[in-house]
Amino acid sequence: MSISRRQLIKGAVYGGLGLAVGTLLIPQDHPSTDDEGWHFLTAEDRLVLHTVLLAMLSGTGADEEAIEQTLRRMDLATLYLTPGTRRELRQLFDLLANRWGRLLFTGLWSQWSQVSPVDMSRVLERWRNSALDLLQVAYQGLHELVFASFYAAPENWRLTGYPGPPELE
Amino acid sequence: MATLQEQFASQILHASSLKPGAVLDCDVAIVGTGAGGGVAAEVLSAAGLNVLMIEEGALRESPDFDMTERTAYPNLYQESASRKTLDKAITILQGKCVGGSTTVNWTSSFRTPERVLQYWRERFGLDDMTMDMMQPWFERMEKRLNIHPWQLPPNRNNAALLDGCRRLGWPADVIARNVSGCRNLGYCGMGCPVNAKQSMLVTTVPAALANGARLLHHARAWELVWNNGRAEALSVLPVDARGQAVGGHSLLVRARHWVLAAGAIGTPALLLRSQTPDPYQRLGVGTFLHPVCASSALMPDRVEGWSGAPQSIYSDAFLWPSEGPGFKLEVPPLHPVLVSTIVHGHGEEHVRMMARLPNFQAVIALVRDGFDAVSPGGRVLLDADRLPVLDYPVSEGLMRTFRKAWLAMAELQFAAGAAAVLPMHRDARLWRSWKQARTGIERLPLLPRRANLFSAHVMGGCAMGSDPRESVVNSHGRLHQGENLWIMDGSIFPTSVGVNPQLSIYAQAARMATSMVQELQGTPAHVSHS
Repeated sequence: MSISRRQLIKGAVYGGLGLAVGTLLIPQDHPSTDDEGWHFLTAEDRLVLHTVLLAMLSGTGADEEAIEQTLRRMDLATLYLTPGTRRELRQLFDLLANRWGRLLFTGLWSQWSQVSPVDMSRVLERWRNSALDLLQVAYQGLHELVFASFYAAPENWRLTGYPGPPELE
Repeated sequence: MATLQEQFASQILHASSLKPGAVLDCDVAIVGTGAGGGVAAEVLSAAGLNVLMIEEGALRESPDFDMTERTAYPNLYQESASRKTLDKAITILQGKCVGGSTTVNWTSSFRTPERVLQYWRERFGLDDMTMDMMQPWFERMEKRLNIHPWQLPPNRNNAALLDGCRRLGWPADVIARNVSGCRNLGYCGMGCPVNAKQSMLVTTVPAALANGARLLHHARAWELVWNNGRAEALSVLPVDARGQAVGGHSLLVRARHWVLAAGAIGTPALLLRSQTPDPYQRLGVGTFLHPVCASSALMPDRVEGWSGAPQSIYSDAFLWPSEGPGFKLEVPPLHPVLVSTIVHGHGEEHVRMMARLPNFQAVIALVRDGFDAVSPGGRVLLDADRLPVLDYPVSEGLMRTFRKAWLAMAELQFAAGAAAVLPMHRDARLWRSWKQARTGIERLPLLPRRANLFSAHVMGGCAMGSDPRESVVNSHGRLHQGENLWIMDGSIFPTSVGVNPQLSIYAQAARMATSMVQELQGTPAHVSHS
């Protein structure tokens, strides 16, 4: 079966988050596990995501330890996705870690480590309601990955009133 | 009770444990162990055929089911329960484990409605599809899987659907469930920890193993080898615990006959990868989802939507409107991870909503797609790795149907006593009255990605029909373009079925596998009712 040109173009627009700004990207593959046990997220990704998590999880009382644990779970979660979905995430993270990508997508001049949760939250709010599909999809993707990884942990259920599964005798 | 692993150790094979290039021979290879493959395996093995079941997912059994989302989603669902359509508008929940979606579904069981069968007869020349002809197959599978209307009172989440319908004079009824000794826990979606759910994992797959069938798991059916209209062999790629192909390693299965039951995404994908003869370009075309939109409500009392049989009440008040797609009303279970991914926004806004989880009530509308111009269905494509992606464009007409559904659900939830209602649309607000909600919903922009859309029912893509120019298999499930291959899963439906599809798949697979045995042996097959 041949995929029509229209489908290919749609696929490129929706699927390849990075394709719209392809020249900024250097194709990379990160299949191997590094010394600190990270599988997919690079040190640069983690810097970006740390800022994203401070904003997304504000109000949860998550401390540095909880953020680190959430990042670890996000890292593991990516291993269960298809290679295609991992490529899309890779493109997004590479884009955000790149100085020019950051400027284009967030409008922020400061380095990731200098961005305040309040500023990041404003950026996320813009993505969430952006007219650009690309940014809406990026927001949705991060939202799902972050919250699923956070609320997967029993210690965070206290925020929800969920008592956990019943005891079976 | 002993696990399958303990009872049938010598018949259960982990694909990675076999030597690269190993060859497995059998009479019938069945790809997939869900609703279709499980039933086919029981029927075919009972007829004395040497059956090999091939499953992409893992063999997980009740001791593994710890009732947590963090264990269930990555281990039991396709793409960790985050599978999406091409444009990312619809999240697809689909099982990937021995038992397929039947291991993780919510047990709702309905016969295919007569109106659907009638449409198939008239539109697709499926003269066999009469209720008289199908009834014995429904009865047989209802008996086999202990399908009965739920006897206990509905949980609070389902009771709200019932209350709302009663107050508005809308019809509502009790759902039949395939359970035996159900403890009313509410964790069907994470694998039944007490083996009460009569999924394929505890019924037909063990029966097939007892009949001598073998089970190859962690095994991705990759490419069929075609020779003069016959499928001769299948390459199988071992996958690891995370569902990733183990590089540089493949197995070969040789079979005289084939049954594909890898689900409505997996089956067309396998046939497309295999360059299956497809002169009329029908493979993977016409995929239906019962696309689902949702509405959440805050109740004044505790609902605890995580507890109790997840689905026990439904309403068909809107299933058959005079024109356009109708929708079925049901409720979803409400556990923290799934809810957290759907609750809008982040930071304090998200925390405030999550804190109300015990009071959440939710209703879902499953749209009956495939019967009209606004829901022609989607198409299965292969990505750069030759893995499937479903392109399912959400039309404006479908979005208008979702709007009708949000209105109906909000009206119902206020009638059931909701303090506030929030349609699951990113531009909706927590509305405090039906009047306010109605005005708000009328103004919601009808853009697919602004809505939270789901599917747990993937159907079609290998439609059955009498005309090979517009279908893939005949009414017995046999491939029009091949001699020795049958398809027995949800992909054979030429439209959606308009109800939760498991019983429709069980009944079709029982009927088709029985006729396959008759064709191969000239004798009727027997399914035990033990």
